[in-house]
Amino acid sequence: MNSAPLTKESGYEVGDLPEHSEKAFPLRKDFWQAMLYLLPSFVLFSVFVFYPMFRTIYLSFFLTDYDGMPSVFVGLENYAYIFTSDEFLKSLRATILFVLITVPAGVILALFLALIANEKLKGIGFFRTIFSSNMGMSVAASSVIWLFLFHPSLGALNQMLSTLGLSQVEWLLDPTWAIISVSVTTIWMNTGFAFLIILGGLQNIDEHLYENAGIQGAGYWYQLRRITLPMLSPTMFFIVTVSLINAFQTFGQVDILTQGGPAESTNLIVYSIYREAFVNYQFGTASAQAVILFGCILIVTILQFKFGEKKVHYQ
Amino acid sequence: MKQVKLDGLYKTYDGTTPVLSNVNATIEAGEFFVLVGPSGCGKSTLLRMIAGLEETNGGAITIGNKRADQLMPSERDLSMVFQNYALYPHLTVFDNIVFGLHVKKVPKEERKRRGRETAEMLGLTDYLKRKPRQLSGGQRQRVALARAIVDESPVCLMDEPLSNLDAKLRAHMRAEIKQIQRRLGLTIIYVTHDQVEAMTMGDRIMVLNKGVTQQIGTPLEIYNQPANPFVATFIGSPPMNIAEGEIKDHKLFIEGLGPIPLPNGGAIDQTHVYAGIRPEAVRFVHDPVREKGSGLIEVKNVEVLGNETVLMFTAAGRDWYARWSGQWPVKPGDRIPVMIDYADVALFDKASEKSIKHGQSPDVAAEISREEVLL
Amino acid sequence: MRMRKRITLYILLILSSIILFFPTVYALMVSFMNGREVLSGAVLPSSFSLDNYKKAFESLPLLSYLWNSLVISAAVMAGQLIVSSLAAFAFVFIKFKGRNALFFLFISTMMVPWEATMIPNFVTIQELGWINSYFGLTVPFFALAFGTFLLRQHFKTIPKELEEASQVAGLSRFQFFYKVVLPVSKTSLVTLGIYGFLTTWNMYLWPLLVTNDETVRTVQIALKQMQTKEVSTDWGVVMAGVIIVVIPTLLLLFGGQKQLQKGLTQGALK
Repeated sequence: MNSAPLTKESGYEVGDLPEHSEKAFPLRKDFWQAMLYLLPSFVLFSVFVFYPMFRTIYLSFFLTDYDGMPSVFVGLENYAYIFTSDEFLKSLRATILFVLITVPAGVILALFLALIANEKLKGIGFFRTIFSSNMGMSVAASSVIWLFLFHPSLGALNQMLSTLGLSQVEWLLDPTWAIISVSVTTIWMNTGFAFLIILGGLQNIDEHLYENAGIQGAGYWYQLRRITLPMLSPTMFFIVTVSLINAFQTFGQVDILTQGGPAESTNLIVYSIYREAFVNYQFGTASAQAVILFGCILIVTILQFKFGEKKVHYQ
Repeated sequence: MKQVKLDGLYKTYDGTTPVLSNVNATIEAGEFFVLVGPSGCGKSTLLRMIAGLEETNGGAITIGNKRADQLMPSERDLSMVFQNYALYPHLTVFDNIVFGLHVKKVPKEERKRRGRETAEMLGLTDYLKRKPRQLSGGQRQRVALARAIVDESPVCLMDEPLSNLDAKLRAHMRAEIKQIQRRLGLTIIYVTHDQVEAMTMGDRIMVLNKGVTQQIGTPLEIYNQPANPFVATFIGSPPMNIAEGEIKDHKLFIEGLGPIPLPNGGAIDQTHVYAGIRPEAVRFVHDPVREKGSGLIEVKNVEVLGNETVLMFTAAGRDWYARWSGQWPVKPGDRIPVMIDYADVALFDKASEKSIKHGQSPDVAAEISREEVLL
Repeated sequence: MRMRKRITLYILLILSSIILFFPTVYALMVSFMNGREVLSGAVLPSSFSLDNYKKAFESLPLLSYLWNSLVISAAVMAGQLIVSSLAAFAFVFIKFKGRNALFFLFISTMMVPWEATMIPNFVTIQELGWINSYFGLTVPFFALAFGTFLLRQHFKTIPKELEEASQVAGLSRFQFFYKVVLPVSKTSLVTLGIYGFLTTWNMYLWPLLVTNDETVRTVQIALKQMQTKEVSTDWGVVMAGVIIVVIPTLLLLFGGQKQLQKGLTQGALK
């Protein structure tokens, strides 16, 4: 009997008799064929993700010349430098503040919109379209629109305030207000996507659950608390993670609205990296900042999965 | 049409535990051959080995005169019907039917003609422009069937093709597939776990259990002369009653039943046996005092089917069934005298489980020859 | 539903719509206003004159920017669809050693923010001579872990029997890929396509880095240019530019909203 040696590789477990098992034949060419299909992704990821990631870490240990080539090895000095630099610490603080404002506010707003848009009403499709439309607004377009809305004299916001008899606000010129203004713009831009995802999550909840709860006499808020939110938790988990990562990556709003000012109150980390690298040509310290950014996102993701996932109720 | 020969087939997934071992069979050209067995018995694996979707780890498959077990599925010149139909959801019914012809580069005109003919044969002419999702289960089944027969492959493999249909439609499709097979003279290898399908459709049946062939034969051979207790209980509904028995003093003793006397000259060497009795062979006794070998049973459940009545009772620690034709006024809890004729009992050796003696077919007395039927 | 609940809902819906949509509508209104109206803080334009749009096209080669954006977005979309679907196909339909490990590696790239690696990437593009070229703006985005993930989720729902039926019919693996798997997955491909097009069209930081002349510059950078150039003078023209830039994406979004929502939720949750 010719028990081919191939069978070991097919990886089936003892006693596993799949009626419709995966095709285990012919295995010989499979590995190389798979590599062929994966090759484009693999090459691109290597060149544009893996290599630059390690290169960034590498560069962060060097001083660089004008071409961005590493010239002097300085060990952790770049890190020491940025962590004592007032500018970077300010940037870090601004970033954290920005994340803490935009993520909860954005997610709650999107949840609210999704909840009211998930009801069966006439013309609901119209409202859904409106709510998701911001997804099509680019960073540049949104920022330019809001730049005008924030305009000290012409802007609609200050005009409204003066109509109401309130004193005007220096939206982008007052350091306290500037970070809020950038946040508002960001939330406005990002609600569309979050709304669409949460609405999808709501629509996936089995209608029978509500029918049953209705028969048992549960009111709207009770259903919201005991059915909707628990069932929605995987969606919320996803959208919170995505929003967090997005918030850390904010750039365009800052570039158009404030250029990091006033008094560096909106100098978010990506903008800081951009300036350090492409205005000051300090690739070494910029890379060190980039590594910190990567670290932030890594920590956020890990924390999310560690603590968030436990509370998530999967169907 | 081609013959398919299976020679000492062996299959393992992990290199040690056999999933199939030493499977031998010759499926004749034009034969409807059914592989039947409980789930996990290896029947689907065997079919997929014949198709080339699973590798053969030992033995040989010959299709026609060609050794096939190292060929790609498409080189084996066969068609296949899958349990879930495997229709291409993005193609219309017509394109689904002629998909294989397209791949084989059959000229367009011929493709059209054959597609239409096959669709007509299966009553699909009105649905050719639809997509599979717009069809009912039965219609999808027909499309899968049409796709399998349109390319006129000499061998057609079917993997539980009817199991997703409701009972009524299944009965209908059974007859239809059988008719098409006869009309076109197809060689069909058909996998099912349903013994009714096996009995009604197969020219011959192979019963598989735990990867080992139990018996190959015509439906009546399998029913009347089961090779072992497994086959005996697998074929027939309700199943054959099986219990351990002892032969002593020229009598067969089964716990919970009266002793069954052996006829003169019917001596058996073994003392420990399995006794198998078809439900229809458990007979009601009108006069328990006079009849030998009768005993009282306590009825646990009654199923009245209109033309027959099925009683359940306990004997030798197992559920037993008795099937009597007609409507019987019996209720659970009743104690009823029954008897079993030794001639109806099938005996199997307790150690080897091999058949010692076949029970006579209950209706064998009423058997009439074909000549009489045909007048 | 009770009347009161219905009315409350409508009020909430309408209020939210007004607040959310006001900036966009206002931008549209301003785009029709002349300079005097803008300065007076009017809400509605006196007439729907297209002067600002004309000026927008005159002050910048907006048409060629639009073309650039279109070419780049379409190229990235096509590239992502091809590269991701090939990878997803291998992950679902080919069994090979290390499949799970490799897939994990793919997914891990989602955690590397593009912004954190932009310095070496910029240098790479520079060395390839791809500054101010379509290549530099498109090729780095062809491989997309999210896209691979999304398509893999969909490919996994394709019954194995479909592959086996194709094998019996005599299709090669690659034929099975483009004759069966791709057509069957049309909805996911459309979702991913819309997503890829939108994100590329709206890309800001990368084009800012790797373009410095008009030949390949995109509309998003044009907006920044316009705003810095025109800010003190004419908001009407700037807003006309904004409207021109967002119209293609809004149309795409309205057209593909259902599809996008379905596809994205599935990808996110399964």
